[in-house]
Amino acid sequence: MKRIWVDGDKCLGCKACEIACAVERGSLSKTLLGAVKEDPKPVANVTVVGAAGRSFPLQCRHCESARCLSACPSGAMSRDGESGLIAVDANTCCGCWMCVMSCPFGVIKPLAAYKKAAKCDACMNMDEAACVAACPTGALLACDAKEYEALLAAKKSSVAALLNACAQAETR
Amino acid sequence: MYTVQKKTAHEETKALLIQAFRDRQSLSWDRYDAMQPQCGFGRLAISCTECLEGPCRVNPFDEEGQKTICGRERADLVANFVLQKAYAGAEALTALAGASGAGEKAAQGRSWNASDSMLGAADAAAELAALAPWIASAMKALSGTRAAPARPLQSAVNFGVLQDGKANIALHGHLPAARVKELLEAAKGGAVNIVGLCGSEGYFGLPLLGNYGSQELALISGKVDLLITGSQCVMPACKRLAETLGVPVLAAVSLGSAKAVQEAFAKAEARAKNRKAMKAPLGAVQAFSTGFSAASCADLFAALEKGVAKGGVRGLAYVGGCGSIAHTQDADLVKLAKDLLDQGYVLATAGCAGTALARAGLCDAGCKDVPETLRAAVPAAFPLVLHLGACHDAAVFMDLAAQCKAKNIPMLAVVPEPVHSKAVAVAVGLAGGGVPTYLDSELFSWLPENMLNGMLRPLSALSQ
Repeated sequence: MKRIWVDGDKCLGCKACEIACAVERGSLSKTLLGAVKEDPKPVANVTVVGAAGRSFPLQCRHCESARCLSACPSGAMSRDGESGLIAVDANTCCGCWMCVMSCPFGVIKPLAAYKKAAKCDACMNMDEAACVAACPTGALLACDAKEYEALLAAKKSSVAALLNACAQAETR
Repeated sequence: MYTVQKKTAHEETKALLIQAFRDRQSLSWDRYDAMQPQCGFGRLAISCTECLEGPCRVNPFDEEGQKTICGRERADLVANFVLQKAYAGAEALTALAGASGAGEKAAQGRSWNASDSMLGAADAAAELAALAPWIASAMKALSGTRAAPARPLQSAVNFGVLQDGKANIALHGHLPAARVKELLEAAKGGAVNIVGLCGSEGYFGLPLLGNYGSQELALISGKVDLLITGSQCVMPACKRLAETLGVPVLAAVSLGSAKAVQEAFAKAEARAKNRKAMKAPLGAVQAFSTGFSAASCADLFAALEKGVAKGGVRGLAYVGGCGSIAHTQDADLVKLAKDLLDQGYVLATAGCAGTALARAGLCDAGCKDVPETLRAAVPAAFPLVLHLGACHDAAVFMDLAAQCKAKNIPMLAVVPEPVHSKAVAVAVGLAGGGVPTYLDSELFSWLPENMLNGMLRPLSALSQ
């Protein structure tokens, strides 16, 4: 099951992911020049949060016990059986904003102009998520949980190795 | 993620910040918060828009060292960024000198061959070295437009310089010295009180309202009745706020005749009559001495020479530049100054950094919060932090540095929080003149080592 993961150390806060998401998933024209002139303005389903130097991109975490799923009265919010990703069906969405209110991460956006909720579906029907493809530093990655854990472990061991080397240098 | 950074360390500013919050006026701090997080490529100066094939940015985490389309690496981009900023600053200083009637002198040694050249780090360093003499001559021409006072002048700083019984006129942005003098003379004995913001510090003992970071708050105080703007350093938000608050704004260039000046004063007086009661307390004023020059510091240099020989004094250091909103206002500047004093450096300062030190009380000869050994080594008439004037008066420090060189007194310059390119240009001018100069900002943390014979360094190198 592929998910979008974040390597917070690599996020430089350039917001390329926000722009890519707004153009690819939020706009009608699907081009940058077209998207910036659209009204209502396209909305991105990923937001770069945090202060300078400590930023990271935040999008739907596709929670195991998702509050938005149980909050949705119209059944528009559903989990895809195969991928386990949660998506909102715009045709069924009644715009009650229950999901917007219940999301603990604040990543479901109310599109007031359309009276529909919008959220990240990890671009599940595309080859690659727009934000992942746009990230210039590799802070956003798409892989399954095992691969991500392996990556984290490698990172931790390299930090441990660095700390060891520092400790050894000090004792010398 | 939410981070909290104190906005200011300056007590009187805090009351005005609360006032602004109550008045629902958004200030630069609010706009800074809304801008977070700022793009890391921009903050590290590893992006480029020089040619139109860009914008390019290089990934700092790339194992193989990403290059721009034209093939430049990280160090090339940072070196080029410093060069571009220094050039912009040199042009700005030259323009100021031109407005003061010294344009020809300022443009001596003018050099710029870097347009559209896609320079690498080494070429950018060479180009920067060629730029330094031009900047030095622009700085000297500018400080020449204002005869240094024979003796330092006594002045006052803080929002408290705004008076209740008079119409307060704030000069903001860089004004020609002659224009400031005309205004002060026209105001003598009248019902107007002229004070300075960023750009004309120390001119003829002009009382100081605040610095670059205080420009909007000066208006929030409600007691500024007319804003006279010079060139550069005036935030567009400041003019807009003046409009919202009904404070008239006049450009200094429009005040060429005595009649125009009197009309401007009348405007200020009319606004003063309709002034609303001020809610926030403005606090007391802080005295400071300003206008030091090589000529008025002869006694000091004798003492410094003796102090360096005996070991109580390390040398002379310049603290210049602006005050960046990324830092808590005044806090880091004052801390840096105190650290340098603790290390045994007598300080010189100017511009907006100078205002921060002046309102912390350090530019007053009577300041108690200074190291005793250093205080004992310096004649009592001199404060341990010499206020030279506006930021474009840094050429006075060049004279002081020449004296230091002749007397073997160690010297250095620090520009800890540059905001405008003039501050970078001044740093380049000083470094080009052989003064080890430390420049801070994340932008310069990857400054190549060989810039200006190694005289231009990132601030992180100062602690080493």
